[in-house]
Amino acid sequence: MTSKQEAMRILQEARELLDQQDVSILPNAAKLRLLEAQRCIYLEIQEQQVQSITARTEEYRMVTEGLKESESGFRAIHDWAKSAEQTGEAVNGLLRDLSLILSLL
Amino acid sequence: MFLSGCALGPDPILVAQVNDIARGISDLAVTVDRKYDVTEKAHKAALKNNINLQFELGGSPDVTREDLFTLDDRAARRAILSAMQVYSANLVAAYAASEDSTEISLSTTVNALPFSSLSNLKIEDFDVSHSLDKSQSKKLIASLSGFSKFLFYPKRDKKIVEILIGAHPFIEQAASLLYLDIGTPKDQSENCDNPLRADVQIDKIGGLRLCRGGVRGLMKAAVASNQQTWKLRLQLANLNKSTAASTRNQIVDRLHDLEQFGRQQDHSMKMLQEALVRMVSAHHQLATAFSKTYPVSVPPLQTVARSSPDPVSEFSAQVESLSQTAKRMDAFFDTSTPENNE
Repeated sequence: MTSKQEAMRILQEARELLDQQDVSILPNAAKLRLLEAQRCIYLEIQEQQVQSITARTEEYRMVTEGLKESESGFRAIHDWAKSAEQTGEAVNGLLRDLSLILSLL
Repeated sequence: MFLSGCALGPDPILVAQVNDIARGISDLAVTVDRKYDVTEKAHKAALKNNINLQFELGGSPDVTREDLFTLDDRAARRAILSAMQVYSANLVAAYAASEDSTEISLSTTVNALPFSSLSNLKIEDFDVSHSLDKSQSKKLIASLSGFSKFLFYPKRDKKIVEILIGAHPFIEQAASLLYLDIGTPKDQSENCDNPLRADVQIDKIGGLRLCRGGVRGLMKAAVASNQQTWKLRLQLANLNKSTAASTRNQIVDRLHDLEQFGRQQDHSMKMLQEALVRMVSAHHQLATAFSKTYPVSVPPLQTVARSSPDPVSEFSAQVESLSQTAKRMDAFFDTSTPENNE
């Protein structure tokens, strides 16, 4: 068991002990201390659990950059399409010229 | 002599697959992003409930707001999810936006492909009736207008294969990272692990024994903490004989609602993890289908275990259903909640 797992185990045990407390026998000040202790334990558990998420943030950046590299490929397709359109316009002109010639025959 | 109409242009099956995968990726990105939001809301509600009860008992608790996720963490996740959406939208625009490819509009990152002029060619525009019959005229226009398409399509299709194969490792890594981020609500074994890197192979990720943590672990703890405060409220209500039965009923209802909410959220996030694995399988299937149609010399794809004979439509259907149910359940904390004491 890693030290992090051990820390989580201790925190869970602490949380369970607090949760088992019977508030009916506690004076008001103790109730408040119980609630504050529950809040602190809860925040510590969340801190432990969120650590691996935070540790991956840099990795996300690298993968995002890698995926964005595909944009140059899409850009190339865009440029080819533009060039094809120009060809299409040339074809269009050719057709008009051709139709004129054919109509004169 | 005229060329007859060439069978050039997008393959309808591939068009359907590109559309399916794009819709699936887009819905998945939105749903995953929403899970971080709803977990943050569950955390905030848990803290607020605890703090409000302390105030009600006459205490003066620390009210410093402590978010679960840093802005940096969220920004990095939003960036990858957005990159996935842009990527899939570009795929649609470049291949499937219009089946006859007369007009293709690209997404925000790449402007519209200018192919519209070809669609404007009409027989009536050309008076060739003096020498050609209608059928011959039709063939003339089909052959000439198809000329530039003939030059464009093969280049485009080869490039799409290259894009799909080049992007695949990053799609897989993104899925791995998000899967690990979603995590698990409890240790999956005593020798559990929490891998941080994206190089976990997606078809082996289900076999990992994860330690409790990630978004599912955070959500479980937030719901448990909130429930615990409600249980204290119930005990206090029972101590006070004057507390109305309706108040106790409301507390019991809230406890039940939270129980159901926590169970549904965990199930939904588990399904999201499955959908992430399916996304990789679907993308792999798409790349394979494209490379069979337009073979190019590119490195082979890493094998991904297939869950079904049609992973693309299965992925799309699963995400659509998941997205609809998640949208409903994620609104749990959006309305005025008892935790806010409003």
